[in-house]
Amino acid sequence: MRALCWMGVNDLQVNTVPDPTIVNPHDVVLKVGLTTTCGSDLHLLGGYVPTMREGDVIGHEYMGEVVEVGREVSKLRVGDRVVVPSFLGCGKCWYCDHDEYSLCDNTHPKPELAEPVLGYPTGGIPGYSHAFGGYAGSHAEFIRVPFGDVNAFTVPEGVTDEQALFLSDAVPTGYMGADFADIKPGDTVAVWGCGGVGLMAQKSAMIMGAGRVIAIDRIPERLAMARDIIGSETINYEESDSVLEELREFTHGIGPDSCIEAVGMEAHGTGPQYAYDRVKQALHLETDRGSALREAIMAVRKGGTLSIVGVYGLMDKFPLGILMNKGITIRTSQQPGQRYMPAMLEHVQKGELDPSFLVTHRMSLEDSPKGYQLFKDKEDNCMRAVFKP
Amino acid sequence: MSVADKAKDALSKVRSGPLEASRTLPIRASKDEIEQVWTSRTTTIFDGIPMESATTQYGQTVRDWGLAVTVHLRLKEAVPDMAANTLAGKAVRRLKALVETGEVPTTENNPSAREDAA
Ligand SMILES: NC(=O)c1ccc[n+]([C@@H]2O[C@H](COP(=O)([O-])OP(=O)(O)OC[C@H]3O[C@@H](n4cnc5c(N)ncnc54)[C@H](O)[C@@H]3O)[C@@H](O)[C@H]2O)c1
Ligand SMILES: [Zn+2]
Ligand SMILES: [Zn+2]
Repeated sequence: MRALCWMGVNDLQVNTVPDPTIVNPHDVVLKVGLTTTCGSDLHLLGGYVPTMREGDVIGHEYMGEVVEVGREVSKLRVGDRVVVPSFLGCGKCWYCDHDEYSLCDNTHPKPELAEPVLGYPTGGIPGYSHAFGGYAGSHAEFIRVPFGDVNAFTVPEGVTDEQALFLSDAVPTGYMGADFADIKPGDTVAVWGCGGVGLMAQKSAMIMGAGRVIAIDRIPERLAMARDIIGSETINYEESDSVLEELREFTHGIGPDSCIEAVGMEAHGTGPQYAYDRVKQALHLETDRGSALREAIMAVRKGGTLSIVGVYGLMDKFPLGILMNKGITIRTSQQPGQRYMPAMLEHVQKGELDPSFLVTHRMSLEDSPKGYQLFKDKEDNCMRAVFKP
Repeated sequence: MSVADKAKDALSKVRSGPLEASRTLPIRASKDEIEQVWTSRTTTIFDGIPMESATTQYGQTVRDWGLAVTVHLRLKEAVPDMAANTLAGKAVRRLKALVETGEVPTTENNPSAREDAA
């Protein structure tokens, strides 16, 4: 089959690779219907996530059709149209039993690569380096999904492929971000980042009862989407003298009740701290540039909540003292989409949530390297490039 | 152990760390169920681990996490870049996955644009 492969830092190529097969009894194989770029892939492309190997198939946000089922699969049938959350759960371990699917104990084939860095391995995820399991990714004609009955959710009629696609990652990540923000009716929520994840966090915050949502980014088209499609108020940080001051103004001097960080380790920024981070990151002395995160920590009101969904590696100069002195609650995780799937599907079916506007570029798999270039450089207003293998 | 063996043993420890290790994890099943898998699935549990001998030891049931199981491992030889306790961890994780789910997570037959499929 054809698949998009990571061949080195900033080197993606479509290659012919072997087809996946059923290996374990709970596996299913999907014919990939749609598969899309995620901000997390940019961290892989840039070489900030170690343990990628030349030839790895990438991609972890996808939907498709079941074409083969293992002998222990009981719920799914060949022909089912399904969406799969990025992290894989087993459905049996303590973590899955407590709805923490992304922390599953039984889906990581290479825990020895994760333990030295994390202490304990996470669940496995396709297309996202060997420290996260090494499973082949979704930017391919077919993909093997372990524990099909636990991880692949049938898409109800009336929900389109493009709507279902983002229930794999962008929506559950944003939804989790809002859930972690512990929103009380009428709260003010500030969200850093107007990518797919940030926009879905903004929408979810509204669904969960936020009174005001303030979106921060620098790309005018993305800020326009936040304003016009989601209904957020916006701050362009490049045009602002101080995001902190603007947020103070917005909130009558109180500060946002919750801040959601949906930018991650490659944040852009201004000022000397940004210059310092860029140099250290380039020298691989730290993996992260944390401008958005640092700003959110300063901006959140005393006793407020900071919800971090952007992906980070190993950041130095983390201002823990500010969090401690302000009494901030932090919550963060890789998204356990299985937990939120029933609620997300219901929102889509009721017309309360429609993520399909995130698709700005529809492309064949053969054109996927070009899609990543547009997505990486945010060219041609690319929000998400979606590939149809 | 003879003096020569002791010296060899000490030398191998210096070169590659201890050849004995153990790791504990809770497994959500009864002792009988775990033992049954332990004895019937040795090939899967020790795939790639040059095990000389291995034993299990059972601790207490840890709230709703399951029964604490310790795998003790004695290796035949050192494995480059892999500490013995990492390998003991691999063995106990495979045992846990087999007991709890009936399979071990794997990247066998994993599509990629290189020769080895893992
Ligand atoms: N926790 C999870 O499970 C999970 C899942 C998916 C994605 N993520 C992470 O979420 C983050 C966002 O993903 P995405 O797909 O939306 O990415 P994206 O690259 O499309 O969007 C990131 C946005 O952040 C903006 N930005 C950069 N610096 C900023 C700053 N200083 N202040 C405000 N905005 C800034 C960019 O302009 C861009 O619009 C990434 O770090 C990704 O890895 C996490
Ligand atoms: Zn993602
Ligand atoms: Zn699990």
